[in-house]
Amino acid sequence: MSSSLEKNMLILRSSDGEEFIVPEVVAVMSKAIKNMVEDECASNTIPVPNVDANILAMVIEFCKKHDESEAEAASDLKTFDSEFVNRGQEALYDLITAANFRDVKELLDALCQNVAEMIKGKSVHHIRIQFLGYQLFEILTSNFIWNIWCDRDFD
Amino acid sequence: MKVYSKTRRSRRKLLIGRTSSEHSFAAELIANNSDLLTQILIRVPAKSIIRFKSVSKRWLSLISDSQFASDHARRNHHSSVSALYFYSNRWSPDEQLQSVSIAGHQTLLPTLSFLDGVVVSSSATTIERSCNGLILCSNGFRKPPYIVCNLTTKKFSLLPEIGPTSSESYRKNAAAFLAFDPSKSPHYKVLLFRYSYANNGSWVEIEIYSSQTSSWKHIYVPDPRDVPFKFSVFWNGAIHCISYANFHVRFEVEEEKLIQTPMPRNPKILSPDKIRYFGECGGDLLLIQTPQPCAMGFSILQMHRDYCGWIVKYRVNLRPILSVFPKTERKTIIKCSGFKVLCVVKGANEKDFTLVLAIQGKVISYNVESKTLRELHDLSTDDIVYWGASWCHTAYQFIESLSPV
Repeated sequence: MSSSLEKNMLILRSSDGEEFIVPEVVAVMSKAIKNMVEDECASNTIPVPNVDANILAMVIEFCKKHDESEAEAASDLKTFDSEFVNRGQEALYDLITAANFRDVKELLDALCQNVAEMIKGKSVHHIRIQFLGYQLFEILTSNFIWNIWCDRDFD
Repeated sequence: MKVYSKTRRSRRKLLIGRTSSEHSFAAELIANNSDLLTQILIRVPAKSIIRFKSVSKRWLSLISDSQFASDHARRNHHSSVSALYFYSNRWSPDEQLQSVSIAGHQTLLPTLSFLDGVVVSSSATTIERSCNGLILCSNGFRKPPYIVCNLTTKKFSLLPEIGPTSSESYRKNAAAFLAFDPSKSPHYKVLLFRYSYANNGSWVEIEIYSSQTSSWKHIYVPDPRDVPFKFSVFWNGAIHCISYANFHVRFEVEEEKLIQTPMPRNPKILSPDKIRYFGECGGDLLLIQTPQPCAMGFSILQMHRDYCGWIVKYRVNLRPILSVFPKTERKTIIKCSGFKVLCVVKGANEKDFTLVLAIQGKVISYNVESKTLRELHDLSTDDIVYWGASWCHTAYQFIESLSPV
């Protein structure tokens, strides 16, 4: 298989076994992959554990766009970024984990910005539900003193 | 009572329902990863961050970390002005600190009450300067009187004794400045300027406090004799002076140098009572001056980046703002009442300016592009007969920031 590949192409294999053929320039936007390629410890097929095919496809789409549009106007790229990160919460958080794990800086920046925009207007209670599984937390610990402390007015 | 408990129960149910749909394990995974959580929180505006301190002990410790605070301030250094503080009836016995939110929200703005008990009399504490999220206060019962505070986090720092080099009168007569730019350094400086005569020459004596070393330093520079000037505004790493001669004078804070740049004769800089605004806005230094006290039209001038002159940025027509005043008052406003530009806020677009004006006991925000206006504050119901230009002398900008002091 590797012989039939063009020289500057790499194969990325997702956690569920699907393979993606991507140009090397695109793949090395992930610092983790870049290090592997530079150290020559990678064969043409690079396993990407912890990232499933669905998410990997999205990451590749993002990297491709950023690679192609280096010469394009920055504003175009910004619109693409904001549209790209505008998706369901589950996918968003999975993408963040993937971008962090594979060290794709541009993607991580765009995603974190999106989450920040999302949570900035939210109430503390809402944040606890979303990020801490608050109900479960509340029942298991019944740490009511902490809750009273938390509910005091910080303004 | 029954009704109350019923609503409680149904609300509870609703919350549990929300939990199952909105809580995600991926989100929890992110919240458990300090690096990622920091990456996200550093992009959240300071106002929300202060609220999020109460999410959990971990969030509290992460947000309270001074490194996080500095990083957050550096990243969000372009945050816009969210409110203004000013004194009504300055220099009179019943002077009062007032505040207005620029967006016109009826939110409760922080006061200086967190200084209660720290200084002898917090009511004697007045704001001297504001600079990129920090404020410099002075309290006459202290020596030296200066306190640097962050109104958002309610943290403050009492500046130490200046040292034996300076006399008592020095401390009283000095003009104080706060120099702080979170995009360049997490540290701030406090500068005290005074003019003195010694050895047949006139000098500008400067005491500089650096928060990095927590100490004072004394320097003096020769006073450029034929250029009358008055230090006014910190912008772009220097304290700038409004000067009536054809020179621009600035004191570079890092280099500790007084620099003069010749300016073209046009536009002519008018006397101080004709200057309506001299200050920073969206990274630029702006000047607004009008020969008459209440000219209904004027231009906004912008300092050239290399200090070689003023450029006309925008011509403003103020007539639309008259609509907020009763017909009977309009004539007096045009004829004899002065106005002051408290603050200029820049919008997304290059020419999209919002002026915050103090005029006849009212504070009005006026967008010059869309010509929309909003009344932010009204003191005209108070028993004050004369609204001279001094009723609202200077405004101090409140920028939400986590900057440590």
